Amino acid sequence: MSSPRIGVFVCHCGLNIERTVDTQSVSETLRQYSGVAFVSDYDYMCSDPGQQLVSDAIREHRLTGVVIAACSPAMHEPTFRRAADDAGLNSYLVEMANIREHCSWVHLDRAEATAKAVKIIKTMVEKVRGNHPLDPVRIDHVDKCLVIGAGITGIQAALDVADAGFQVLLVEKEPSIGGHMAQLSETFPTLDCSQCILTPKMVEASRHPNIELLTYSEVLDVAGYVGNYTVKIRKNPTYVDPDKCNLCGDCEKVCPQSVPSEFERGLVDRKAIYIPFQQAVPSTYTLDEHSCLGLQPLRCSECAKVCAPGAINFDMQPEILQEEVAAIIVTTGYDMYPILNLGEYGGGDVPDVIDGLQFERMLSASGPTGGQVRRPSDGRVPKRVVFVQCAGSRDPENHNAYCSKICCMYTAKHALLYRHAVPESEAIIFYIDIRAGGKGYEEFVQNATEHEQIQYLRGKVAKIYREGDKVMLWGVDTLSGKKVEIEADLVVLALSMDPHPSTLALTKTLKISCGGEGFLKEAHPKLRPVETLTAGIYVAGAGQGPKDIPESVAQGSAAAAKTIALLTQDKLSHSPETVSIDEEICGGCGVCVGMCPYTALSLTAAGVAECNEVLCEGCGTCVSACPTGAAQLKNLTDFQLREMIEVALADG
Amino acid sequence: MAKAKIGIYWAAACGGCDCALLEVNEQILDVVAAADILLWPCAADPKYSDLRGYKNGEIDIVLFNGAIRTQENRELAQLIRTKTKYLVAFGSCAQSGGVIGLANQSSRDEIFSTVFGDQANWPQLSSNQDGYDLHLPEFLPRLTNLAEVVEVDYVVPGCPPPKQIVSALFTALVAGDLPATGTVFASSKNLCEECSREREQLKITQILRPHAHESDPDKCLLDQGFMCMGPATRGGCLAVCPAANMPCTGCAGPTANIRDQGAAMLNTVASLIGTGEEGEDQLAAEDAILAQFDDIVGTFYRFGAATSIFKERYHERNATTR
Ligand SMILES: Cc1cc2nc3c(=O)[nH]c(=O)nc-3n(C[C@H](O)[C@H](O)[C@H](O)COP(=O)(O)OP(=O)(O)OC[C@H]3O[C@@H](n4cnc5c(N)ncnc54)[C@H](O)[C@@H]3O)c2cc1C
Ligand code: SF4
Ligand code: SF4
Ligand code: SF4
Repeated sequence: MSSPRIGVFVCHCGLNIERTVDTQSVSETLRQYSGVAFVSDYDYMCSDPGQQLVSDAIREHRLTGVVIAACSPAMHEPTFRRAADDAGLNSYLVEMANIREHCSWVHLDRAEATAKAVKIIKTMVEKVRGNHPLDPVRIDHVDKCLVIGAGITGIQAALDVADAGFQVLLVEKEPSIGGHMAQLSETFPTLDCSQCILTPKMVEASRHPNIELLTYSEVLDVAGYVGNYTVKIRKNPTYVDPDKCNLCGDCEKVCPQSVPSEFERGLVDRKAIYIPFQQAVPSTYTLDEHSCLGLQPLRCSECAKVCAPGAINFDMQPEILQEEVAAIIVTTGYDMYPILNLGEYGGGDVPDVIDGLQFERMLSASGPTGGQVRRPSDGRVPKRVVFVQCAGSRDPENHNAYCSKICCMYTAKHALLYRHAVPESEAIIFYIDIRAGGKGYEEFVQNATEHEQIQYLRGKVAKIYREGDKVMLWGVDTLSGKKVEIEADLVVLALSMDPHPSTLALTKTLKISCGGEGFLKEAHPKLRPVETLTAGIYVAGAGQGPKDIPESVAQGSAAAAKTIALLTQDKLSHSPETVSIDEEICGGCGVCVGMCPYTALSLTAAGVAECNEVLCEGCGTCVSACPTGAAQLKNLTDFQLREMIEVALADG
Repeated sequence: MAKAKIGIYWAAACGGCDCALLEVNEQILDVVAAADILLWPCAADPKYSDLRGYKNGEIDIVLFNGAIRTQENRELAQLIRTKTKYLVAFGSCAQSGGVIGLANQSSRDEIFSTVFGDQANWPQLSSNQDGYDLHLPEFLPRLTNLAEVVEVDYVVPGCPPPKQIVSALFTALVAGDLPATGTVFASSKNLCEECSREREQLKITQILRPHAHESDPDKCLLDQGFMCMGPATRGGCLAVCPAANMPCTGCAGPTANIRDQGAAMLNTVASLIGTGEEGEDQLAAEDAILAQFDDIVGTFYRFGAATSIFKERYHERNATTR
């Protein structure tokens, strides 16, 4: 190869770099460096004229490589690679030398920072010297996407993708879609009826020609890569043929087995054969084999005897489906923090200490009390209800460290709806502080305090216990500094939000990660909130972190937009900066194969390792494990790294 | 065709490499028929003056075994380099410092105290015995391989080099058909390729030493917990050690892309260690496995300590030269 002609472009980034790094002197030094054919500096390299400077220099000086000394490659690498490409230079011959985040922003001494900037740039010149032109890997893809979890977020995402003309597979664990929103009464801040705004979307999802609904189903296994994931799904048997079931409910009447209703949060029982709620989608009964008296051997069969259309089939088997999808949207939502963990609040022990979702069911017109607030213990209408915010949240020593974000709002809503439902009642709220950020949210809380005579007590509740038919609360009013003791008829805990219990196992199946709190982890909290680090897998809704309906829906649509952007591409492209195996060196020891987190490696029949570059994310795990150096990252070989380290450690 | 002129030299060596030359049996007769042996201290008794008497480049090829431990080793290596057309680093010590490179973990003073005891007994560079002035070559502060002192044209790895490799070298030599300089007379791949044991890519869950534990003769030694250097070592020896239930000790050195054989193998072992546990348990389990190592340098750098990235243990050099 003819000798390299590398161009170095030093950015001032306004004063961001120039303030601490002497870009003039950096440029002078680099001009003398071997292999460097052109050096220029500019106020904002990323601006149009800045990019033009790069393209012009590539053409005029026949540059064979480019180093942009500016910000992090995470910011502008694509910008400059595109500019180079336009000028006819392969984009993989362009590298960023980060003299901002790694230098000017973290140093004060101008002389030292300038010297360091020179070093950083020289290491990147060495890298570019060893780079080869590469072409992106092109991948064909299928035209379908999978949505896991059919709460409001999953439904929204599925509808958006389906409306764009692509096939969607919507998988839900429970017998009905709808998620938690189906359980809510009215929703803050506008107080519209939750079911009334949700059910049209549920129906639309079930009728949409592009959506295939798989309820009572779970994702067992996922293999493959963006554009071509192969998923295995188990459809659990409902033992009821939905096409025959006419919803007469005769089976339910005769079933002798009762268990607490999940949908009603245990406020009432359901039968072993049941429909979770009236507007359930799909609209059919489900026989829950765990609470049924026994299918194998068949013990009871009362339901089948009375089912006129003969919809009940005890021989139904689980079905395993295999599907190909291009992208996966994970919207598995949340669960309540276990009330049993709050022993100090009488959780699980005092019947008139309930959680927010139970209260939603009481307030709901379709709920077990027909919208009346009644005590679980004796059915009496409570005259004084105390609401306790942050129950299990913001308590790193004992419970969850994080703020569940929505409880301030729904507690204000609960108190307000309660005051409307029960005249002459008293609503008291214990709070640490009120977090009501959001459109119309602060106004909603203000209205509740001013016009609804809701009493806000700032402080923490220490203990809740039962005394006679009352519930006693001990706490401290931190504003007056006085101890308070309150006698209540009913206590509602605003329990912390946990990720859905299936989250951890599912992330392992999908090979994506969870954050420390267990919620689905996004690729970047600000700039890539619905993407994961695995291409083609997106996250949205309350499964990604506590959030309310508007935010969940927005994220659902965002994940759908990302998916649509992927599906509309003719072919997908994948970075060619992957691993290559030198077959002359690889002896097939197989060490690398088990290391790859993306299962990109295998041993061929000839006994050498082989990398599927579509799967390889270029993480380098195998490279460090490979004992022969046969596995090397393209454009970041051990040889390049050694050259880079050598200039980084050299004097001057 | 004129007879080729060859030389065989030993520096800091045990003598095994010279013996290995004879392992080719009758083939040595072909060598003698095709070439004159001008230099072979182990077999004849050449003097420095004989060597100095040759013209520059007069010898066609010299097989140099042993490491550079003393000033004399260094001077002779330099002298031989001027007299020969091709220089072969023959055996592990010439190639990478060999077993004796492990001495670079100790300072010269530490080595002398261990070997000679009291400082009074240490050898003197110059002394007078019975009226004769005696001079000893300086013991260099650090042992090196041959290539650190002079340019090397070929490498014949092994401790000692195995018969089929020596034979391949002789065949090329007798035919006057030497390969491109820089050639290493061994496989370009790692030893696992030649090893017939079955690898399952299990995790390393324990560290075993061959003298203390019996091994399964069919399964990969590394999978069983014996620190076999095969993955980080060039093949060419036909994996005779693993075949005899001995883990590879790495004598052939690393493959072409590897700068530091021990580091490469340590990376591999570190990647494989684990029990499948997660979180805190995983760390504790891994620590417990790591604690089973006895001698990390001796295990992973048995032949490569002197040419490792660090080359020697860091210590303040003794100011007085001896
Ligand atoms: C007491 C209370 C009151 C609230 N009131 C309001 C309000 O007034 N206004 C408002 O905006 N928000 C309110 N919220 C918040 C609202 O409930 C959430 O924002 C919303 O339900 C989040 O929707 P989602 O689809 O992300 O999650 P979810 O509703 O939890 O739905 C997730 C779905 O995924 C399914 N799933 C989980 N794991 C799997 C799996 N492995 N495989 C297949 N399916 C799976 C679940 O079964 C579920 O159907 C309230 C929350 C609570 C607790
Ligand atoms: S670890 Fe290296 S030598 Fe071993 S099989 Fe993989 S690429 Fe080949
Ligand atoms: S670089 Fe990472 S993703 Fe690519 S093959 Fe190696 S281990 Fe797998
Ligand atoms: S025993 Fe050694 S040489 Fe043989 S396969 Fe295992 S690691 Fe490789």
